[in-house]
Amino acid sequence: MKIVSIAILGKKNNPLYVYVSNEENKRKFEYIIHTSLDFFEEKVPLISPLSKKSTQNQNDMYLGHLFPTEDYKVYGYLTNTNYKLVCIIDDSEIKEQEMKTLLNNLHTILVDTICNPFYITDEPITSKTFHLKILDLIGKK
Amino acid sequence: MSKLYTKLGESAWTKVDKINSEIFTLTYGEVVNSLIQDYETSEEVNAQLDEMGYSIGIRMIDEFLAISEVEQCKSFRDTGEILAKVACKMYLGVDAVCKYWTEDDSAFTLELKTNPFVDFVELPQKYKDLWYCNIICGIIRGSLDTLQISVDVKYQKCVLRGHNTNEIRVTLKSSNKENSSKKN
Repeated sequence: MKIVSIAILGKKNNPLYVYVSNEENKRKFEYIIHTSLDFFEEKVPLISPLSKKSTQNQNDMYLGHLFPTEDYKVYGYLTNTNYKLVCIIDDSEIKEQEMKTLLNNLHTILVDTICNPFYITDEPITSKTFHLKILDLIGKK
Repeated sequence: MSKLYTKLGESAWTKVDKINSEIFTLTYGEVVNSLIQDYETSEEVNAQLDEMGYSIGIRMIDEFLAISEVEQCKSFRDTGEILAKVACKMYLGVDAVCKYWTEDDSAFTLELKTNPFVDFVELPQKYKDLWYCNIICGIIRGSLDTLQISVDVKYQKCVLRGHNTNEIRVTLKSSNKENSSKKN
């Protein structure tokens, strides 16, 4: 399973961070990420304020497989604060649980970076530590 | 003697009220941010943090002596040990050590391997001269000053600047030893 690209988008859909494993295809991946934005809105579960489902938990943020493209699969994750995490992989075999874990970890890394008092919210993430953590996360997979 | 101080430190740690470390770290981060907006240069912010720390230190010393129940120090060396083993443990929850004593025991380095102030923090390039935790230096200076021990406290190494540990150098300037260094 190869993670080809990871992106983090802000509340106004502005890109905060984009990682691509292959620099040549960067444009293509950015295009795919842009396309995935529509799917975020489609897939957001309609939560009725009156329902008292006790099954609501953290993984309501995980939106799952968004849409297929020729060679890739795109997965999305929407946080409660409207940060969108997008992950593009090129393999066809991946367990849902693995992807959920990956995106959860990505969320955790994002939260750590946001807590930095010198990070200005909604600005692109330039922190080296963040980048290293992402590489680490991908490396594990 | 060292074991005694470690024990005192731990018992003091259990006696005090605790606060969630994230709210503490985030609050301190905003304090530093706010100072940067007001003062702009790193040197001025460092100086301000030191002043703030001084103000905290002169108040903190009384509480410290009341809760930790340490005895009078016989020498500056004892002072250093208590600072590291009891005070740092009680207020920051970290185990600090005293190292690099000079021959005449007039200066030492306080080493903190971990520091709750710096969780999540990354120093941007333009503030690379900032000593983010300079408030600690002020606190030490303020508390010792109230005990008639005049010291110079400076940050030597900080993990935010890429070093592998945090080190603060404490140098004795003068002390009224006749009044006996009741140490903090």
